Amino acid sequence: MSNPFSINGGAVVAMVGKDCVAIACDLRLGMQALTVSNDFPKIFNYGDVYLGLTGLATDVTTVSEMFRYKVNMYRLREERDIEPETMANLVSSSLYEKRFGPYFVSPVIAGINPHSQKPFVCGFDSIGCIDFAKDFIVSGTASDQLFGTCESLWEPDMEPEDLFETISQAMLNSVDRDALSGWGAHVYVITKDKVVKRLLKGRQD
Amino acid sequence: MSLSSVEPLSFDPAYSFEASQSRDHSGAPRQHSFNPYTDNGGTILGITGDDFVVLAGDTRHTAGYNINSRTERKVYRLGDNNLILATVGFGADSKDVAETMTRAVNDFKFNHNLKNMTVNAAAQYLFTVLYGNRFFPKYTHCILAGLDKDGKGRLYSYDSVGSYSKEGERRAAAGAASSLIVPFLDNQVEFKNQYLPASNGTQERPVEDLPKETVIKLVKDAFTSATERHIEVGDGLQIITVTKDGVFEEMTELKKD
Amino acid sequence: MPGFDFSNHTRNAALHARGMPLPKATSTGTTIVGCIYDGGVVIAADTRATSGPIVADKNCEKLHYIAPQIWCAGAGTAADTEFTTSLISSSLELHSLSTGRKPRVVTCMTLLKQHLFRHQGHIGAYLVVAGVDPTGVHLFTVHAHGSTDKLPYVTMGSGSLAAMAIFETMWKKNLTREEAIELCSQAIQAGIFNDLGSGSNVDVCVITEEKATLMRNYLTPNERMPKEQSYKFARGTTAYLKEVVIEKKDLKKYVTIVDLAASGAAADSMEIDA
Repeated sequence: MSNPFSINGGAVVAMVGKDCVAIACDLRLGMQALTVSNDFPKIFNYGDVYLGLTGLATDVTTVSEMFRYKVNMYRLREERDIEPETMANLVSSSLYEKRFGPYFVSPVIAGINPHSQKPFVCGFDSIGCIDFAKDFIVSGTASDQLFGTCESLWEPDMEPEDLFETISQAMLNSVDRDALSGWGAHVYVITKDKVVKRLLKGRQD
Repeated sequence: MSLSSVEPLSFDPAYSFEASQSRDHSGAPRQHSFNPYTDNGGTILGITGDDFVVLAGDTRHTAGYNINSRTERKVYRLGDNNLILATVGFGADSKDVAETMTRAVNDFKFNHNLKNMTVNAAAQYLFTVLYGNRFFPKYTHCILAGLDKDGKGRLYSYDSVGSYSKEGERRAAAGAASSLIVPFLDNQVEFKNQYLPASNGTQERPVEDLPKETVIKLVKDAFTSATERHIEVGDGLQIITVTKDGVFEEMTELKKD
Repeated sequence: MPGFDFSNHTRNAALHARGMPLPKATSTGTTIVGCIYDGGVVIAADTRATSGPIVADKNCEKLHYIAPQIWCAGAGTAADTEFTTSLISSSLELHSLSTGRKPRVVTCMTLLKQHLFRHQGHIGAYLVVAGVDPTGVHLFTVHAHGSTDKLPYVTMGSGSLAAMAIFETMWKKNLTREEAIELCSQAIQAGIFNDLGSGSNVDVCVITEEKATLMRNYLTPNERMPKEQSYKFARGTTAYLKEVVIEKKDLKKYVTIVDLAASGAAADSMEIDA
């Protein structure tokens, strides 16, 4: 029995650019050293809000489905899509509700507010403490490596194409140094009128 | 001094002090212990070029949440050779290994008719020093660097019991923030995961030796980034460069919070 | 149902009994201080949030609003300080509406200590509560197990010793507003530079009889120097195997009007997920 955050592995990073945000995840699902799947994406979207989840894989699935339910109910009641800032508070409260029996996940939210057009990213710990960042958020077993690469490679006000390069290089080089993450990556670059999703070519080990 | 309050029917000898619990909360016998090691934080980094090597280390010495010193060097010049050694981990062991190596390099010179110890000989000697303590290891990670007989930069990195590779490496990092710095160096020194833009993901960017000025910039940026995100890194940055013209030391400031 | 949901507790306890360590939550490391002066109270905090030895947030807000003239600095587990203060803030506002009076600092302190004691220290919130109410100027500390202290100057968090060293040297009775702000910011700076768990900027909040003034990032002694070079990559450096472009206008392009009276089954189904 070991740390629940490093049984299945995984990595997610989100970055802010000029009128755009990007969020990326690796695709590995493992059981300690054994890789079980190379197609386990960890980013889910609810309308225009993108949620990345790392940690214990069963909780990743449960929590993503739980928020699908909560966001759908929100949509039915409010008759509009949920905004990223509101989603952040929804995630925070839902996680803190389980304060003494938490979900073993580290969520990351990325999105562009449809009214103010402001790019938004934030991260959480497993009990819902929100970390609002103006630059980037990292999460997962490769978080130390991601902190190092993002802190060096990120600069403010990057265009979408440059942000794609930076977030991809940060993700690929960090997961290459982590045994429990990797096996490919998905990168979403979100701007106000389109979303581009790419599958990265990475080391398959 | 008073007897334990209410035990009239007990036949145990009455102690004049309250007996401390002999078992801890989980029922195991409580043991006194002394931990011989402390992690004093800090990070070191080394990069080679075609005709130079660079070793850098921060100058912060910590214990837990406290700062012991803001100006404790981790990169040493061994004698007056062109050999440099950086050590990080447990401060006392790190310093001891560095002093042992300094003595060894100086003794070599006296015993071999003023011939300087070569970098690969020093590398092997450091391995014997560390493995000699295999059963009570020196809790320290070392990086040894110098120029070989052809003038090419060489770098060797060690774990705490002496494992190293005879061919050496192009770059190495050790210490608290090594996991933050190593992937950045993979990307910027070895150009990993970088492809030529025109090749549409088929041709990798070729690896070439970097000029000294670029390497120094990478070192400084790696450390400023590590300082931002790791609490045990900061205060000052000590960079020692070895070229055919000699050994140069540079000290710059890092954030002190 | 409001309140805590313990449904994962049995599962997690069983896993822990088999040797799985419990996750480490973001803790604020932290230096927080409070100081009464002649005319009000000043509280201040650093802005670093750590997760183990890694800095998770370089500019987090540790000064929490409780009532217009009652503010609170929080150390300990970040999620706990955040949610406990917002819970007590709501309770206090309802209480204030019910009594028809301005909320009092002692009420806030009592609500906090009773909530924390009920949870026997498992909610890791260590708070400095300060405010001005109709009875006067007050400064309290509240510990996670539910104990409180009423004092003229206080420090808490991992940097509390460094900050208290400054206070014990330079605090005196009847400070002026400027002297109190200066003293508090120096105490926080002592924590920022001498404690590894604290860092980045200084936030200050001054509460007087008429209003409270939050000075976010009052001091920023730790700005990052510009990097030596730019690490922007040439476009096309990253290799990708597949690309999908989803245009926003495509998502909402098709609107189909169906006559519901005609098709009974279709009226019940509703496409929910986007």
